[in-house]
Parts: sequence; C-alpha cells; structure tokens
Amino acid sequence: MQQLIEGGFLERWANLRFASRRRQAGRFTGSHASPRAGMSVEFADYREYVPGDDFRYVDWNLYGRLDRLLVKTFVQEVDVPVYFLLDVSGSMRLGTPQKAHYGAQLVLALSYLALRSLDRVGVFPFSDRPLDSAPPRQGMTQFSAILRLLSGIDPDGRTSISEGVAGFLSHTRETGLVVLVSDFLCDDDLRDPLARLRHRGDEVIAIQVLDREDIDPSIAGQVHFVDVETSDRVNLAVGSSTLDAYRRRFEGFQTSLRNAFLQRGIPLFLAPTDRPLETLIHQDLRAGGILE
Amino acid sequence: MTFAHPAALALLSAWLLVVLFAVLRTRQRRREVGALFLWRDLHDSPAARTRNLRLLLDPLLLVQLACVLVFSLALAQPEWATRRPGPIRLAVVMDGSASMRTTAGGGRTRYADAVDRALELLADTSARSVAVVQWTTAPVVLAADGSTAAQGRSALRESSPTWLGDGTDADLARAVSAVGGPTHFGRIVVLSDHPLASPPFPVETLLISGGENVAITAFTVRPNVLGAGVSAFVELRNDTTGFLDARLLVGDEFHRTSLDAFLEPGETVPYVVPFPGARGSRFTAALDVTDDYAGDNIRYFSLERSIVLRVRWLGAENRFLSAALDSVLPIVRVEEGEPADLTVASDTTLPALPPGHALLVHTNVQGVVALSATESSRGTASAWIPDHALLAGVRAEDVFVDRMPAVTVSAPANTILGVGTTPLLFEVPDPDRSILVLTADLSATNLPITVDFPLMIRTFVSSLVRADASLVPEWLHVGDAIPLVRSGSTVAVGSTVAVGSTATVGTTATVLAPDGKPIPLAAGQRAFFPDTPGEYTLVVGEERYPVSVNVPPSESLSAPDEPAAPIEPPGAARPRESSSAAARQTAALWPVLAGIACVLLVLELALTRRRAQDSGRSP
Repeated sequence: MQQLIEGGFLERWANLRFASRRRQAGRFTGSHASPRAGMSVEFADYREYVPGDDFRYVDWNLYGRLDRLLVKTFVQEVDVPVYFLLDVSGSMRLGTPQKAHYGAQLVLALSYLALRSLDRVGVFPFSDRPLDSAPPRQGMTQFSAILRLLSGIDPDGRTSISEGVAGFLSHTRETGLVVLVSDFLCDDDLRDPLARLRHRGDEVIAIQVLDREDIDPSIAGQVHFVDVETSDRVNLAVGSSTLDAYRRRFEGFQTSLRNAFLQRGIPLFLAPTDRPLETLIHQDLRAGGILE
Repeated sequence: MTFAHPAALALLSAWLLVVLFAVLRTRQRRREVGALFLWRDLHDSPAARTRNLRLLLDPLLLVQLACVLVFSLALAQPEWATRRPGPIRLAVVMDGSASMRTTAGGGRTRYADAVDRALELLADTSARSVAVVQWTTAPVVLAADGSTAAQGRSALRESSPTWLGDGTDADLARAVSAVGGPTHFGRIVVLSDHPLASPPFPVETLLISGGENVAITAFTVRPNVLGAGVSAFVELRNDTTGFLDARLLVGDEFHRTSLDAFLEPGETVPYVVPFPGARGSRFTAALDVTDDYAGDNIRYFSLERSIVLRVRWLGAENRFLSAALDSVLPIVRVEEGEPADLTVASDTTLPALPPGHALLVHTNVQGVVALSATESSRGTASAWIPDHALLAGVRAEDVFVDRMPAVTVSAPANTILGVGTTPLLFEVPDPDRSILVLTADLSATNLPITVDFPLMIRTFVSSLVRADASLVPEWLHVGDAIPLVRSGSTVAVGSTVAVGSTATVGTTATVLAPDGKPIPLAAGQRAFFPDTPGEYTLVVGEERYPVSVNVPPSESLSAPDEPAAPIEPPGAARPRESSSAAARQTAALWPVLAGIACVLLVLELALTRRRAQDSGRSP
C-alpha cells in the first residue's frame, strides 16, 4: 500500500474530536462526560451529605442559607472507545487512489484525533478471512500500532459485513463509537450486523468509500467485467444506454443502503476517493455532527 | 489518375492489421469491478446490443484506416493527368481482315476487342473531327472525316470483320488517303493483330492478340496422270501450344476420303491425299478440329472442268475407242444439245467439224478430211513430228496399220503420224479447241492391243482439259477479282457476247454464290470480287465454271501473344499531338496526400490520448 502519512498530515486534524451524542460509560478518564459522577470541573448536581463524603465538596454557602449539608457532585469525564471497522476486501483494492488506501488514511486521521482526545482507539480490518487488528488503547503509541497495522494491509477476499461485525463483537466487550468504513458493494443483508451493533449499544457511523468509476463509470465498448472478489465474469457491450441503466441500478442500490442504515439511526457518509480527505472530515463529518 | 509506384498500394493490406488490432482492442478490454451484481443482466439492453455495430464506426478506427489509405496513396505517388487540348483530327484505322475474327478469349473476337479499345479511344478523345476506316486489302471508310466521336462510335459498333486479307502498307495509305490523307490528321491510331513493319507515315499501333489456330495453309488438287481420280496436296500448320491429332477430310461433290494428321506444336506438314474415287470438279479439304479461328479449317479448290469426260458420240460405236477413253477418265455420254467436253466421231461422215474438242476416228468431214475405201498403203507408222506432245511415251514404229485408206486433207493440218505418205494422225489447228483426227480404221490397226493407244488418248484428253488458259484461277482469295474475260474477249454481263469461236450468240454471264443464288452484277462489269469464302459458280451461256474462293493463308498466321508497345517508324517525325502521353500532363498529388496523412496522424494521436485518459479513470 502507498505511504499513508505525508508531511503535515496529522496537523490537519489536531483541533477536532469526536462529538459523542450519547454519554458513554467509559472506564478511563477522558474528555467525554460520563453518566456517572466524577471528578471533573464540570458541576453536575447537589446531593445530601452522607458520612464519609469529602468535606471539600460540601457547599457551605447553601448550608448557611438552608441549614442543610449538601455535597456538590461533578460530571465524570471518561474516554470513549472508538472502534474502526475497515473493509479490506478485494473490492477496496480498486479505485484511484485505492479505496482501501483512502479508507486507511481516513481511519488514521480519525484515530489520530480520537487519540488526541484521550479516547481509546481500536482498528479492526475485516474481510472474509482472519486479519490482525489493533485492540483499543489510549495514547500515541497506539497510533503507531495502528499505522503499522494499516500500512500492512493487503485488500483481498470478499466483503462480509456480517463476519466483520461478528469478529469485532467477539473481540470487544465495551460499547463505543463504531466507525464502519467500507464500500458496502456487496449484496449481503446488512440488517443483522447493524442490529447486533445497535443491540450492544454501540454508536455506529458508516462511511462509504467509493471510487468515481463505481458511481459514474465511463467505460464503453465490449467489456469483460470481472468481479475482483468472486472472479465471476460478465461480458457486456457497453453503450450509453447500458451506463444509464447501471447508474439507475446503482442509485437504487444506494437508496436501499441508505434506508437500511437510516432505519437503525446510523448516519451514512459517502466518501468518493476523489473527494479530498480534508473536505470529508472538516466539512462532511463536522456537518454531520460526528466531529466537533 | 496513374501511380508512379503502384506496388505501394499493397500497403493497403495494413487495413487488415488495423481492423484486427481494433477488434482485439475492443475484445480485450477488461474491467475489474467490486460489484458485479450491479452489471449483471444489463447486456439484454437493445442499446447495448447495437453497440457492437457502432463499434464499426469507432472514430479512432476510421481515422487509422484513413491514415493507412492516405499513406499508401502518398507512397504510390499518384499522378493526376490533366488533359491538354487534343488533336483536332483523329483517324482510327481498324484492321478488318479475316484474322480479326479469331476468338481472343471469353468468346469475344479480336475485332470486338479492337472495337472496345477504339470506343475507349473515342470516348477519351477531344478531337473535333474523327474518321474511322477499315483496313484490309479493300479498305472501307466507316466514318468519313468530319464525323463526331459519337458518329465514329456508332460506325464502329455497326462494323464487322471481313474475310479479306491483311492490308498492305499501300492499302493503309489508301485507307487513310480515303479520309483526307495522313497529313490531315493529328493522330492516327491503327488497331490490328499484327505489327506494322514499316508504316508509310507515323501511326500509333494498338496490337490486339489472343487465340490459337490450326490451319490448312495450302490445298490443291491434280488429276492423277496414270490412273483415275486425283491427288490432293494439303499443308497443315499447328500454331497452338498443344499437339494436334485431327482428321483431314478431302472430298468432292460425290465422295470423300480422310487422313489422320498429327502435328507437333508449331509444326507445318504437307500431306498428299490420294483420292482415286474423285469424279467431281469442286474439292474441299476440311480439318475436323475446333480452334479459335475457323476460317482456315476448310479450303476449296476447283478444277475448271469436271474430271468426268462428257462425250458426245457420233457415228458407230467403237468398243476399242470407248475402252481407251474409259481407261483415262470416267466417261459420260451426253445427248445432242447437252454440254460436252469432247465429241467423238467414229466411222461416219460429218458435214462439218463438230463444235468444241473433237476426236475423229475414221470419219469423213466435209472440207476437212476425206477418206476413200481405196487402200493407199499398209505398214508401220512413222512420226512426222517426233517431239509432239501426243507422242510422249509412244513409239511410232510400234504402230502397225494393215489397211490404210486414201486420205485427202483439205484443211490446214499438223500431221503427227503417218504411214508412208498418208497421214495417220493429225490435228486441225484451232486456237480455242483441239481437233484430233485418226484416219485409219481402228480394227485395221494394232492400236487396240498396244499400250500406245491409251497413252495417246490419255495425253489427248489431258490436253483437252488443260488446253485453254484458265478462265478461273485455281486458288482464289476472298477479295481477288474473278475476271469476266476469256481469251481477250469480255464476257459482258447482261448482253450478248462472243466467247472465242465457241461462244454462243446471246450468252450472258452470271455468278452464283456458294448457296446457289445468283449474285447481281452491274452491266458492263468486267470482274467480280467475292467477299466470303466458298464455292462460287460462273455461268457463261451453257458453260458453268466452278470458282473456289478461300480465306488468304496469310490470315492464318498467329498474332503475337503479348501486345507490343506502340510502333512508330524509326526516325519518323512525331505526329502532331499524336501521343496520348504527350497530350497529357501530370500533377503529383503525393505532397497533398502526405499533408492529409500528417493531419490524420495528429487527429489519431489526439483520439488515442483522449481514449487513454478515459481508460485511466478505470483500473
């Protein structure tokens, strides 16, 4: 795979962080508010004093006015596990640049800004075969591990969202933010894996990486189509009407895909490989409330 | 348009490569996709099916084909002929001789090919005046000078070859002179199947060739000197590339005989065909073969008279005399009033000499010879004119006369044999006929039992047949004159004539065609010119003369296989605007084509790059 990081790549995402829409119950202190009271500077509420409470949190002003011992409680700031599920099937090898390369850069950028937010980040490449993964950890050492992992991936095999989700769920216990990066160009039934993710309580974001040729192919003439994942073949005499028919079929496929995610409250972002990564992250994901 | 290097047009075959590459390029386009299910079943689209047809109109392919075409044309260096003002007058000379009837190939004759070439010539000419003549031994003007090209073409289409022989240079000069003369024309084109050895003025010659020929090049018949019938002398030539194994048929009006002939390619062989059963006067030699020129596969020959001797017999029958005549020729007795070749009188008295040839044996003729019963002498004969033709092969001393009558000759006579002082055999001199008189009674001589008598009779009869200058030539060609003149007297047509001393007052001449129909002759016509081969008959009064007319043997010569270059006489001044090459100037087109090719190359390069960019969007 091409070099994932060039000079100045990381600085572009330094001031962003994931905007978790739900309060996650992280295990470690982080930058996200926890539903549990904690030791942050953000005031949460008052409660009656019970023996054993720290006298430093008794609000003496209220005791003077109300003659009641009330203890101030604060929001506990916790980390949010961010899980990246990156499709590295054969179809991700296609495109200019490769969809897998584009997806890996996207995962790397989002991992970096998550790690800077003291979140734990785990990366789980998937296809229809066992693959190495980077279990969720905090700190920049994790970034190095992720970089090594993504630099070594070789897109191959078939796209299997179900197997990817199943493998991910078996490796992680803690709910978190699941970023699913794939071209989703498969005829699998996505309802089951998405339902399993939602059932566990994960917050899911789907980013569909597509090449321009997937969206608007420009080929013409007698074409020998080969499925890069299944090696199935189809010979077609492609003309403008054929391309129109393809576009109509592709649009229908995208609509059904969006509906499948939408029904489970999962935002789906389209990421064409010819769209600059900065534009995707700074505009699309921020506008979608994923980043802040 | 002509090409300086036409071989370069072979580069056009590169079209096949271009098309092949286009097909391969089209067929080998391979596209890896991640979602094949989105492409499935799209090939049922009618538009996709028609895409295959539209591939044929691939602009890149068309431009590449155009590149190849233009490059090939440029390398072939085409030259565009621009016509200068042509000659004002054009003369087309068509060889109309019999050899132009030869089938040159495809069932078309050389003459038809020549007409086509001439039509092309006239269609291409800018001459304001055109003349067309047919050149043979008897040239004919087909389109007079001043005709338009259209009139010339019409005359050519209506013309046909003759059976005449090749015209000579003089005939060519006469032909061209008939339409104004050679200096009258800026261009004279001769279309012939034989090259002109030394044309009398500058001409362009277009040689027409083709066809193979087997020919009877000579044919004559001679009566057998010793014996009945004739011998035919035939010369055959095989001008084909194969061996000839054919049957030669020789016949007369009554019988036919044959001979197998075998000739090697290019061989000429004379044959002598014995024909003892011949009785007629018209002979044919026919070759049973199929070749490209049939005009010389049959030849005709006539004897002036039939070899059957028509005898009018006067007086007593004499079996010894009859036997002697029969031993020479078949005898046909004719009645009084019928045409006869010979009058034989035996043991009788005549008031005068009979008309025509006569053989008088022991006969009195008033005013000529008188015989008396008184025996004048007896003994061995002696030659009074020893070297007389009638005595050829005869020994006078072998003739013995037992009873010789007294003979009184009262007319001029040439005595050939005599017994003592008595004439035994004499002839009455007459420029137009032969009259032979034997004064003795045959039964009183030893002549019937000697060989000398038949010899004398044979010699006499032969002299009768050959005596007169022939009215009809033995070997006539088509176009040769049949003179209607005999012995200095004209056989006037349609008027009374005197043919020598034997002519009958009131006789008229008629010529019968080979089919037996009379040919109309003009009054006062002195000669007749046959235009087709065959057996004609000249009828003068009661006499009928067969006339054999053949195609000239020179027409049997083979034409050169390959058309030769136009021939012009050495040192001759070039005719004014005579050459078609000189009448044209050429403009080289290759620089223009090369420029077009470069433009096409740039266009092809742009299309290729655009296509490469399009392809670059896909893996």
